[in-house]
Amino acid sequence: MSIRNTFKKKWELHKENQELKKTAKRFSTNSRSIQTSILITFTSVSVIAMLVLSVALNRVFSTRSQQIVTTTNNQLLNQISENLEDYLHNMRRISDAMYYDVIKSKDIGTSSISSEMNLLYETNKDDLISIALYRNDGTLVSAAPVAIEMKNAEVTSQSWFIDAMSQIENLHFSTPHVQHIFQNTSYHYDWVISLSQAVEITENGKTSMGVLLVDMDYSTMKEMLSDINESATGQYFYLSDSEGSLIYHPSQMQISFGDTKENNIEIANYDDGSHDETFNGESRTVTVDTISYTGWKLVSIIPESSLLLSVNTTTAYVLLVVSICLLAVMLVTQTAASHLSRPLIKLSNAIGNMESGFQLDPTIYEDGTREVVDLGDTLRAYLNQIHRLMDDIVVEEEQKRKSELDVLQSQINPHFLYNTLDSIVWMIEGERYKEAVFMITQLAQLFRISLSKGKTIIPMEDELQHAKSYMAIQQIRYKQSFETVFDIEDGVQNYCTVKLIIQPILENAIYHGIRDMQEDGLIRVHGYFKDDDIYIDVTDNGYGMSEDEIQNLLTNEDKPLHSKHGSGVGVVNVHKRIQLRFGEEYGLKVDSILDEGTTVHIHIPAIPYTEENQKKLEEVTYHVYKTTSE
Amino acid sequence: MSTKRPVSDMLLTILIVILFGIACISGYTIFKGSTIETTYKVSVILTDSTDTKWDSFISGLEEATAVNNINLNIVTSGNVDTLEREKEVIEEEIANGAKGIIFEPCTSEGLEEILETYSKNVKIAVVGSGFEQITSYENVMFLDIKDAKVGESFCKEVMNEILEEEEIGAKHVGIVIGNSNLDSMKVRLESFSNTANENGLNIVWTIDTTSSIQDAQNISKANVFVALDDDALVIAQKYASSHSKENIQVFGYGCSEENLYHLNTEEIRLMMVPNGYSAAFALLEKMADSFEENAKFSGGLELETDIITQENMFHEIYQQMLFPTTD
Repeated sequence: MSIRNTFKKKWELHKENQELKKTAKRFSTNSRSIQTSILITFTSVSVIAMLVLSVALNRVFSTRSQQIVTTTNNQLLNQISENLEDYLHNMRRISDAMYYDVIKSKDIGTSSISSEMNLLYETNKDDLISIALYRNDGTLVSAAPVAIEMKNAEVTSQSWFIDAMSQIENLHFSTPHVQHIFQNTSYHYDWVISLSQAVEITENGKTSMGVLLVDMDYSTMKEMLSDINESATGQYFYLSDSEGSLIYHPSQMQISFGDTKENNIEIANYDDGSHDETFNGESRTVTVDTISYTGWKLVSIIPESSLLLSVNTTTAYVLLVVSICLLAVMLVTQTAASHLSRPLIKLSNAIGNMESGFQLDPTIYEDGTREVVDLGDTLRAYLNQIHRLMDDIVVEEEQKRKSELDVLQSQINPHFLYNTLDSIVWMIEGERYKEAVFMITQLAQLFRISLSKGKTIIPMEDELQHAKSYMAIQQIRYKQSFETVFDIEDGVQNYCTVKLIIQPILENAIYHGIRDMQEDGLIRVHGYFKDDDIYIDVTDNGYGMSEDEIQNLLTNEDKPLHSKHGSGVGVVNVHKRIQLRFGEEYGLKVDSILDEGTTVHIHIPAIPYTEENQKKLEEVTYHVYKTTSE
Repeated sequence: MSTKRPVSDMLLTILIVILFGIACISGYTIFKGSTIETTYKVSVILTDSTDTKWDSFISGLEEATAVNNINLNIVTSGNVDTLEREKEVIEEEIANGAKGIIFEPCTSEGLEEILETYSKNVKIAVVGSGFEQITSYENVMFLDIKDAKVGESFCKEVMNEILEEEEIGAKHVGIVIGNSNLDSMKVRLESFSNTANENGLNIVWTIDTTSSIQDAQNISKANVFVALDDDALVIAQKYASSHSKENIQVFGYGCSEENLYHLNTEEIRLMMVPNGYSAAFALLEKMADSFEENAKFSGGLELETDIITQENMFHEIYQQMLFPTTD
């Protein structure tokens, strides 16, 4: 694959990465928005709908509630009115019966009416206090129950007597009063409503006017009306005569004592039906029903506060229902929004992890709605593609690296070859055939290990042999001017190494360390195990190096691959090859003291040399090898 | 990912809180509306609750009950005429849930002990007589008859009435007082006597209801009887009726049906009548307020009086007061 293609792929990968980042950002920003948006939208719509509904319902219910109160009140008013009508009609019937059936048919001068009067009283005594007949001068003709008049009764000055005599054609109903014209051994005075009418009395053949008095028991009527005034809502009923004088009022005594007030005089002028009025600063609805014949007014009062009480309760009900509904809607919406957005948030989190690099292999959420599943699938496909591309790049990079190493490894400095061959020629011409054969043998071994059938990973034993062959050649070339010692711990030979890592170090030691020394130089190759790794230390007793030179030795990328003197494989390249193959923690380390010498430590992992390990290490890096082995 | 809470979340939270608040308030309003209002039991303990002199007072209590959250219980367990019996009934009523006690003490002695003991648990209203001398207690209100004022004004009314006819010197007054165990009665008598003495009215004897008028008359004849309470007035009126030849004029303080009947028959010339209705109404309203609003319930509530004669007793306002339409 060409460099151009690799660059193109990289560029595409970068673009996809950018797109993914944008998507992730969009999700991370909008995922909350989706949930909140759903919640706000639904809640807003619900709130508006519920508010409109509540206002409408409240109006309807309040109106209906008021109508119910008014209707119930009117029904009660009509019912009481009918009961009163019946009661008063019955009283009139008693009075008429007494008059037309008894008084008119008898001459009181010759026959008594007491028995008939008593009979009528006894029959109706639950509703009556007394029945009495008076002559027009106020003298008592007869009374039931039999009673004695008070000495100071002054009947003719009583209002019921005056009314009867002034309008003889009518029946007259008085307002409630204490009847005190009869003596009573129990000292008790009764409250009565007096029904009086002028009657014609025949006495000893002569006709004169008189007054028939029927005293109705006020407590009967009071009971009838007090029963409907039990309500604690503030509504009440009262009864007045046509002039507005109170007959019954739940607060009658308070009104009498001036502790409270009633608009009874004015209301007496109201027509039958409902009227709105303001009395004592309070708005209220007054309903009037006139009792036939008597002209009495049965009045119901509904204070506005009483209506408001029922309206307030209705409003409270509406508000309670609406607020509970809204809370429920919000809860449901929240749940739905959470349910809908959760997959997106999880998706977003996965992308976020990708973006931040926390998770190299994020699990894409696979659940949720169809759209989210599709999106997840798409992202997963993208991710797989990215992984594939990344794997491809790794493979390509590895291949490229291997190619470079192969190039580096396969190259032998032409100078080294020329000098070695020149030495061999010189030996043959000097008939030093044994030495020539030895040198050619060492050269052949050098080439054999250099090639190693194209392998990169070889046993340490071969690598050491390669180093020894190289040093043998060099020692002949340099006429044994330096000594080489190989001190290798047992077992080290059986471990893997990248080929051609010792020879460049030895080359460096010869050319930069001991070549120009006056005394005999020494190069020591020491192989050993330490911390489960293998170390090969190459030590010379040459001139040593400065700190700058040491730094330059391992970092100078510009150093030409082929040294004029060496084999062509530079120290920096050895370092780089070891790191590329085994990782950053491995490679070379240089210790040097000027005028004392230099030690180069080769540090590689201890991997036993087997065919399987060799093949694996050829294909993958040490890290991948380690991961798969674990 | 941002952990900052968005404004929309805050608004939603506020909305939820508001809705929850509305729901709670509405629920409370409905609950309050549907709940029967708390009623407070008030027991009325009178030495003799069947006596018609209490009609007006009871009528006032009943009307006040109708407009306040009071459950009124007129104790009808016979005469409560001893200190021990009073304590017993009060304890029974408190045990039965009474939050307020309106009672008429049979005697001034031991009253302080009763008030001291029970006012810690219930509101107490003392009626029937004035107890001006007693220390003010928290949770205790006195229906204050102002006996000194009653004694003085009653004496003046009596004098006005009799002066219309004859010289004051021709009148000899015999006074019948009510329950002499009550300090109030002593105050009323003292006030009446002092006023009479100051104006030259001749008091020939003073007795209580346990003594015999006949015995007093035997010692010194009186032609004007003055009764300082309702029970005394009944006795005085009865004696005067049965000794009509002596032409005794009877004046008295009271409000029972019997005495009012005799006022109508003119056997009693004039009565000073306490407006029990208004006092009872005001008293119970104050007690209800103290229950409902923790208002102060102590001190005195003045009991107003009216002068009633045969001429005015059936006027609309007086007939309501004198003959209350109690159920």
